[in-house]
Formats: sequence, C-alpha cells, structure tokens
Amino acid sequence: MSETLSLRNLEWALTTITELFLLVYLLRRKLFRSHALFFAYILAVTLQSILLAATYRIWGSQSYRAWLIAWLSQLVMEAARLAAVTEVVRRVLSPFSGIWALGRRVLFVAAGSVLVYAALLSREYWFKLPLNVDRAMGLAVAAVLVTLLLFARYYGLPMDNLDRSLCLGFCLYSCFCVINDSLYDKWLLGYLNFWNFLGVLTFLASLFLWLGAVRAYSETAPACDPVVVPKELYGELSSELNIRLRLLNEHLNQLLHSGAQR
Amino acid sequence: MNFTIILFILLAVLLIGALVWAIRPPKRKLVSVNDVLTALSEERHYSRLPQILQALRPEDTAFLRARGFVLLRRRIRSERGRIALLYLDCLQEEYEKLLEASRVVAAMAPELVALDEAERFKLNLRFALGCRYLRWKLRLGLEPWRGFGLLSEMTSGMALRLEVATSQIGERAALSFAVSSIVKERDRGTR
Repeated sequence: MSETLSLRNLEWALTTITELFLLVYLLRRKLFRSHALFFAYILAVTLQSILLAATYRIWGSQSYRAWLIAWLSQLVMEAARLAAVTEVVRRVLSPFSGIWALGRRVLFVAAGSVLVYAALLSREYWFKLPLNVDRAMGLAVAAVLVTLLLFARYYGLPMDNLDRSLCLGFCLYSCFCVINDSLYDKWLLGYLNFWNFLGVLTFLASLFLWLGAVRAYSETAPACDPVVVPKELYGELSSELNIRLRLLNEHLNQLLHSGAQR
Repeated sequence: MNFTIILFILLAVLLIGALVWAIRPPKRKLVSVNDVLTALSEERHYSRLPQILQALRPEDTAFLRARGFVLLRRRIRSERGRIALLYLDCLQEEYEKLLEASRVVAAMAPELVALDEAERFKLNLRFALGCRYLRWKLRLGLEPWRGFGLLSEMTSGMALRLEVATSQIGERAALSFAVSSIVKERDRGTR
C-alpha cells in the first residue's frame, strides 16, 4: 500500500512537471493563441493538481472535504476538456463550411446519444453521480473524436500532427477513463490508490504525446483558403456524382446477377 | 459481472479500435479540382458491359461441353473470368475516382446536402462489399451468379433507368465548365 502511495506521489510530481513543461512549450511556440482552450485546459489541470495537493495536506485525502473538492474540480476539468475538444473539432472542420455545417450536427448527435445512453445505463447508480458524469463525458469525448477522425478521413481533410496528437491523447485518455471508472465501480472500491494511480498514468501518457507534438510543432506556411463553389452548383455536381455512382453500382449488380437471366 | 459495466468497457474498447483505424494516414492520394473535372469528363467503361455480361454467361460456352471440349471450355471460362476481373478493376477505379471527386466537391461546398452525402456513403458501402464479393468469387473460379438464384433478373426497367441516368449525365456535363471557370477566376484573384 505504502509502495503504491509513494509511486503515486512520484507519478503526481512527474505529471505536474510535464504539465508545466507543456505550458512553457505552448507559450514559447505561441500556441496559446491558436489553441487557447487547450492551453486553458492544461493550465486548469495544473492548478487542479496544486489545489488537490494543498487540500490533501490540510484535510487529508480521506476527508469529506477533500472528496468534495476533488470531484467539484473534476467537473470543471470535464467542462474544460470538452471545450478543448470542441476547439480541435472546430479547427479541423470549420475551414470547410459545408462539411462543418454537416459535421457539427453529426458530432452533436453523436455526443448527445452517448450522453443519453450513459445516463440511462447509469440511472441505478445515481449515488455515484461524479463517477457516472466522468464516465459519460469520457465516452462522449471519445465518440466525438473518433467521429471527427472518421469524418476527416472520409473527406480527406488536412490535419496537422498537433491536432492529430491532441485527438489521440484526448481519446485514449477518455477511453481509459471509461474503463477505469467501470472497473472501479465494480471491483476496485477497496483499491482507491491503485485506481488513482492508473488514472494519472493514462493522463501522463497523453501529456507526453502532446508534449512531443507541441515540441515538434513548426509554423508552416498558412494554407490557402479552400475554393468555395456556389450552393446550387454543388447541388448539381453532387447529384450528378451520385447518379454516376449509382450507375456504377447498378453495373456491378448486373455483373452479380448476370447468370440469373437465362 | 454486471452487464452495464461490460457494455461500457466494450464500448470503450470499440472506440479505441476505431481510433486506431481512423488515425492511420489515408492511402488514397488527394486529388485536385482539375482531377475532379477530368473524372467527370473521362471515357466510361459502361459501354463494355454487354460484352462482359455475354462472356460470363454459361450458355455462351455450353456448345463446347456438348461437343466434348470440356478442357477447352474450362480454359475459356477461366480466361473470361480473368477479363471480368480486369473489367471489375476498371469499374472500381472509376468508382473510386468519382467518390474522390465527390469528396473534393463536398469540401468546396458552402453547405452540404445531408441526404446526398448519406446516399453516397450508402452506395460506397454497397459497392465496396459487392465488389469484394464478386472479386473473390471470380478469383476462386466460382461462377458468381450460381448463388444468386433468388436474386431478381435484370429487367428492362433497369436498362431504361440506366438510359435515363446516362442522358442526364450528358445534359449536366456543361456544369464542369462552370466549376472550372470559378477556380480559374479565383486563381487569378489570388495571384
């Protein structure tokens, strides 16, 4: 137990140092302007670490106050994480107005359905509200990011390495949060320290990923604005392309069915 | 173990799997607006379909079996299968080019028609599955149509629909010039 505790303290220290490094790099690369909400998120996480360290020192980690402060600050972190993810989504999709208009609706529906799903499945555990909120948000964030990546892949949208790393880091962290919360819910009630250790470890992995991407970030030439065609023209072209695609599908069907007409 | 917990964990693992798949760099190369216009005006492979269909029909080589040329018939059928595979490659290439073109157009659009996009996505899935299925059948030397006894026959109605669709395409070919002029104008403006 004490070994886990000292390891956890070491992990916390390492996480806080990495967060500070990341903040410094974000400032040095002037990314706090283009990635303002991500910068705010990392800043908030650092402040949360300091707040929790002070709380545990004053009231002890097992006190009700510490529990309350930890979960309330965690709710703030959830909001900050969601805001940072929204910023990434906006940055990737918004240069393409048509895709952005469709994409934000799809992403909103994806996030909404996951939240409703998580709420419905968690209703019998209402007394574990903070844990359920953490899990639902984790699932929603992961669903949004995976949908975003699939969208970007489908439409071949450009995405720089930093945004890709942010998606990867947030998504992996969120998925592990869901797994961690679920396991904790069932099995690990007696192993709070170990659960905390795993949670911080996955966040540390994401921090390293982001740090690497921010360090490697270089200001490239600004991409030229995408060409925009009038809406009517898009409608015409789009339906023409769909007709052609349907035509090819029907050709394939003819090939598949060819032997049947005898 | 609680079913709800399993569902949550399963969903998270599924999302990690989808993330790993989605984060890979795309294989296809990005095409320019010019490529879109070329794709819209290129020669089609449609015109060869009747010959391919004819060649794949078992009756077309049935007389060889009746006259005892079983080996020859088998060789001819395998050759025809190979040709059908090549045709399928061309069809798929053309399909992918058009799909890529539609994505480029979508990226240029100020607003997307969700139904068009959804239909394209559905068509894409259908085509990819059908193509894979047919290719494997042809590769394995199986007659693809054998398993399709229940499938509906090709009706004259479908042929008519194809005719209508093809003529619509002809009417709309002029649109590509409109896009071309917009791009040129914009290029001139940015220079």
